[in-house]
Amino acid sequence: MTAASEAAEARLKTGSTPRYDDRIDVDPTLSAAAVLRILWRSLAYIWPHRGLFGLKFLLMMGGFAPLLVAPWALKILIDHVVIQRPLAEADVPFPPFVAPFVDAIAGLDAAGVLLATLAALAGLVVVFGTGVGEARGNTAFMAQGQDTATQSENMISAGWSLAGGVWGLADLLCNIRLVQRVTDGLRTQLFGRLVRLPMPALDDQRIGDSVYRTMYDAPAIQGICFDLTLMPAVSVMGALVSVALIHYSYGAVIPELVWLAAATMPVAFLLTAPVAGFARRASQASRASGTATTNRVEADLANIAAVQSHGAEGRSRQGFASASAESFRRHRHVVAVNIAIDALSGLALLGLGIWAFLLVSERIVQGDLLPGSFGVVLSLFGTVAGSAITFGRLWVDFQGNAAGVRRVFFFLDLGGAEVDAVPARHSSSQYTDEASPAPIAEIAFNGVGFAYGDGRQVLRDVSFQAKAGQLVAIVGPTGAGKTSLAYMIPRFLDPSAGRVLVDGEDARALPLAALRARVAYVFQEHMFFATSIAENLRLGQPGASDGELREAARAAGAHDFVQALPDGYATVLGRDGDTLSVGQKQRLSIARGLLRKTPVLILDEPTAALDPASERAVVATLAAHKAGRLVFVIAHRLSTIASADWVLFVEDGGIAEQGPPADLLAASGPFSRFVALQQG
Amino acid sequence: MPPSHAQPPGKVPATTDAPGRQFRLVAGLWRTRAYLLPQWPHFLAFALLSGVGMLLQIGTSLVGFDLLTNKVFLAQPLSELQAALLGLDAERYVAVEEVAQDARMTLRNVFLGLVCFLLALGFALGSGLGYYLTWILQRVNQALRLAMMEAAVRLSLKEHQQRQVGDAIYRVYQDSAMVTAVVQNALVQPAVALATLATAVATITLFSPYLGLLFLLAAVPSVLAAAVLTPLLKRQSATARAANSALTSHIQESIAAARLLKANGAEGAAFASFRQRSRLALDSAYALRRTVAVLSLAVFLCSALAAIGADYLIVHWVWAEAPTFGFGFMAFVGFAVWNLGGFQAARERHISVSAAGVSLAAMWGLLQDMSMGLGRAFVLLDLEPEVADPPRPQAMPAVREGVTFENVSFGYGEAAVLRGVSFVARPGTTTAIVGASGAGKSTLMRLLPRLYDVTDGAIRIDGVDVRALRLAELRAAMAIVLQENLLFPTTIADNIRYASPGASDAQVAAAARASCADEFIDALPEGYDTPLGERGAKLSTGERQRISMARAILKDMPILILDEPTAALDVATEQRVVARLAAHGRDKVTFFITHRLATIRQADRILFLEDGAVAEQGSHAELMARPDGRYRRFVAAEAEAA
Repeated sequence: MTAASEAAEARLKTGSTPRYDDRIDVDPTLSAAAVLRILWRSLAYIWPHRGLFGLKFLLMMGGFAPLLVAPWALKILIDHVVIQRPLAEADVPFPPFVAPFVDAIAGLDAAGVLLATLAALAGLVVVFGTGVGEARGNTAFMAQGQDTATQSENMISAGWSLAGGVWGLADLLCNIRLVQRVTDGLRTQLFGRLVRLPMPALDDQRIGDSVYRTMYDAPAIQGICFDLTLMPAVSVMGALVSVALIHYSYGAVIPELVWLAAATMPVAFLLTAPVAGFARRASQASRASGTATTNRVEADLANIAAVQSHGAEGRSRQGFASASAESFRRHRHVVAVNIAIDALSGLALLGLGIWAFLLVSERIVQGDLLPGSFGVVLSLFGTVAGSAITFGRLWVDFQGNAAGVRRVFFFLDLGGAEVDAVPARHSSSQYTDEASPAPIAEIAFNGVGFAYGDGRQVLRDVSFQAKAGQLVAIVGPTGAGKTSLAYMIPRFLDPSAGRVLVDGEDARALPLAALRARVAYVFQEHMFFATSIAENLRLGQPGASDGELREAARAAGAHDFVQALPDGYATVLGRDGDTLSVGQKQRLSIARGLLRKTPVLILDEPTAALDPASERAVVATLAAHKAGRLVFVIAHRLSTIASADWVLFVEDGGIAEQGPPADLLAASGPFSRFVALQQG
Repeated sequence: MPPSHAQPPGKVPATTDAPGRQFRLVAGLWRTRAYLLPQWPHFLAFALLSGVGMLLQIGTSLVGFDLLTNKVFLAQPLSELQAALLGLDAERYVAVEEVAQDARMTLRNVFLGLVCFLLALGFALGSGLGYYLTWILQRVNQALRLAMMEAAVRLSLKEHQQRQVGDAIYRVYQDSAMVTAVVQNALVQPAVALATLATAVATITLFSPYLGLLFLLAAVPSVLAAAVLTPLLKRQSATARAANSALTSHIQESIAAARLLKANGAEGAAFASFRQRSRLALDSAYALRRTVAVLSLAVFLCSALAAIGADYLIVHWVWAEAPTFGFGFMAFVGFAVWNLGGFQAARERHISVSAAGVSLAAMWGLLQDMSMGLGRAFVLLDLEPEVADPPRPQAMPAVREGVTFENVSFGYGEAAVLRGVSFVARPGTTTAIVGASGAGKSTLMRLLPRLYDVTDGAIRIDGVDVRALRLAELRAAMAIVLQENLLFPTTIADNIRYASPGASDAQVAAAARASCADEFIDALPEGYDTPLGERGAKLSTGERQRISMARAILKDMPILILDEPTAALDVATEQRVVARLAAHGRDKVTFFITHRLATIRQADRILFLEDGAVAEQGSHAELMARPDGRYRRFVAAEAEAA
């Protein structure tokens, strides 16, 4: 089955799933097992940054300690300073890490204990940011919007720290760097993959979708890496230490409290895990609809001339309005699901908290405990509950992040990758020497056929030979398959039958980069980057000198009009070179192809938008350049065809006739009939 | 053609906002009013509900600390008012030296019930308000995004040529989101934080004015730190946004030109450039966040150290059982004199002050970032379309007399593209526009639907200047096939239907037949439902041209403009298309830009352009009759080439 019909089928099958703009990635459903696989795979992205990761781990664990110390300082303030109970008459044993401090201040009077304790608290505040109120980690979130895309910017540079203060600052900065590096690793890999997509996939790939995946989906990786490594570690450790402390100090007075605290974690997890599916689906839908919105912006702005000339501004607005409204609506679902999950676990933990409150307050009323213990137990219990909520949410949080990362991995895994299909038999150094690409003496097609994924047969049984020094014209009616045939040479397409031979060797056996380094292709459509003309020309030959640049431009008939521009070759082009006329763009494209000086040069209708005089000049240039190299031209005009050494007349995907133009004209076959028509 | 920076005077240049553009936050908020005001009932409801929540929280905290610490834990008697309100027996709770143990247990349960009720209320309120705020802000953001997209779509082509699509995506998405962020961070959250701060300081002052003063003193270095760091924050934010915008543009351009990269083996270079831009974006984001974190930390340290100083004072007051400042009111919640409950309640307010201070500092950082983002969003909104509707548009004429170009000139900046072009085109005639590449043929035709405006002279339809017409009506009256075939990534049928959305399938098919597009569409497995790739990829140029033509034919309007529609067609197909178009255009004003002799010959009038001016005009026969005419020479060259 073909890709397109599969896509259509998938849309039918998942009838209830809204159809977004995805063409290639049409089935976004994700099973729990798939989530696990994605998690596992994400871990690999931490490894290159293991040093930074280790540092973050240490900073985080170190930031944990003061959380356990601060409540005891407050207890000393309440029990032994405000109500002035001597330290020796403490209700419960102080934990081992506080005991030395207590021993040291035991001899002081209440005022002395007050000063010493406040000094200790001040130290904790400066270093760890804890001691006044609950621990306050540092965060550095910048402004964000109200849907997944606009919040991703913060995710790329997400930062939080467990502790506050100076330690927390170090922790935070380390965190941001780590998160950025991990995200950068993934999005760089994705971008590399997207620009190397094989030609048929590129035709299907929406540009807005690419932007969305690279900029807004890739950041989800850092969430996974954190939730998978640091968060479980810190939350489990936090819970265990707190339970141990409750056991150490309060186990003797209220044994039930220990069991209660220990039960918190499993309860939170069991409550939230079952709703993870909702979270996952909500997140998928939010991202897919965000993509659709990006696509709208891209398509309408890129085709702005068509929008305006057909008076479709109103409809453009409407289409964008509904796409954008949909993406907002879906994001609200994500918010609602999260609120529901928080409510669920919050309520359960509140129940356990009330139970603990009953136990502790009863002992205080009975006089077994001092009022200060209330704060300590509350704070320890709070740590356990906080850890439990974090831990319980992990699986839920994975869903949203897995949804984002899946969209990235999808393209990393997409089949039909442009790789060297047959292991290269040559050492690559033979071909990658940019300065002097190895010559090509002959290109031959041997029974080549090609059919698109959707079954359209474009080429059938094409065979010919072309040698260096020849100018080969590919001629034929519209839609005959001329461009597809030419695409086979630099392997933009691979034949589905037969072979393309380069100097007698299957093109697929050559290293792809080496093959393309020797073939320059000038497309029918003109594509430019919003950089200077010089940079645009140097695209395939970054090292070309100014002299070579001018020479190529002169040969393509572009030099004169470029010189006439106020900034000459340094003129920065607008989007898609829009400030130039089509004829001028065509000449620049040709200059770009000539500049590369490759053994094979292919021009796809290079002169369609040129007037006869300019066209003659270009053809003369091509004839001059064919010495020692092989030039293919797809052409309609007789003047171009007449100066060719060999004509391939393509009709209906096959070669109807081939030979020197003069012979073919004399033969009065399909070619001569075609030419007669041209001359009208 | 001249470069983009040659701008007509008086227009806002499209790209001046990148470096150093300052944006005033107050002005920005004022600008957003159009998007905010419609939501005022929601903002009011949100503010009222938030106020209720805040009062509940402070009340709970004050009453709670007194009841739990002073009464339940320390067995102090209740005030008469408290007992009455809680429905407790005054004999056991008020008129005693120390409350009995079983009575304290009862009081504890009453306390628990009260707290649970308030917690549930607070939680419901908090969650509901969170969702409510998202909903309100999304409505605001939607309105702004729409306005931006509309502005972007309406800008004239000249302006479009100078900006990058990726940049627009970034602005519409990321920068417009800043409006809601402004509301949230510049209005809602600061209001909440300031209200928290004010009530906390007020409560603390009720305990003791000295404490209030202490916190005011702590505010001084905090404000200084903010003042010192603000210019840095602004710079870093502008850099971060520009870097991210450049990155988005780079992705867009690279994917759009991926074939070109492939053909030139330049994927590696594009990749390296991406990597560099990505690093730059991340580094600038990092620098910005570091500054914000440092500022927050400074503010936190000031307020937290003040709170520790306050602890010292309060403990001494508790020891002395000193009366609180607002003891009359404080007696109401049990804090007429300093006691343990008072210590805890005051401490709770200190924490509140510190937290509110830190969040204000963080918000200050956000504000700088947002003002930069909004500045970028408004630059797009502020661009006045060069081509706009006249204030009092005239009715669109029926195109009976035809189209007149009167001494029309056009140029970008100083360089003239067209000079003094004059001619008349009547209904039922075909005007062929002929000339060398770059002579200004396409530009001439883009002036008619006002994709650009003439810089001199006028274009009239039935004597009415096109600039006096409503833009939408003007463009609706003509069908245009552009030289670059702009197709949308939808189905073939949708593309043909683009200019006439109501057309039936039969009409679509008829239009496709008229442009000979049916020949290849019928061969496609999915036929008219075949989805096209980006920019119509997957079709050959000739196929794209025929779809564009079908689109124009379907629109069926009195003016038809064809800009080299057949350049990529072979002659046989071209002749079929031209014949069918001739039948279609019998009563229309038809313009045809072409190089093909066979097509030119059939035109009623030929306009031969040279260097932006009309060199010759007349019918084929007339022009060929001129012995050394330029057109005649052109035809000779063309015939030789064909």
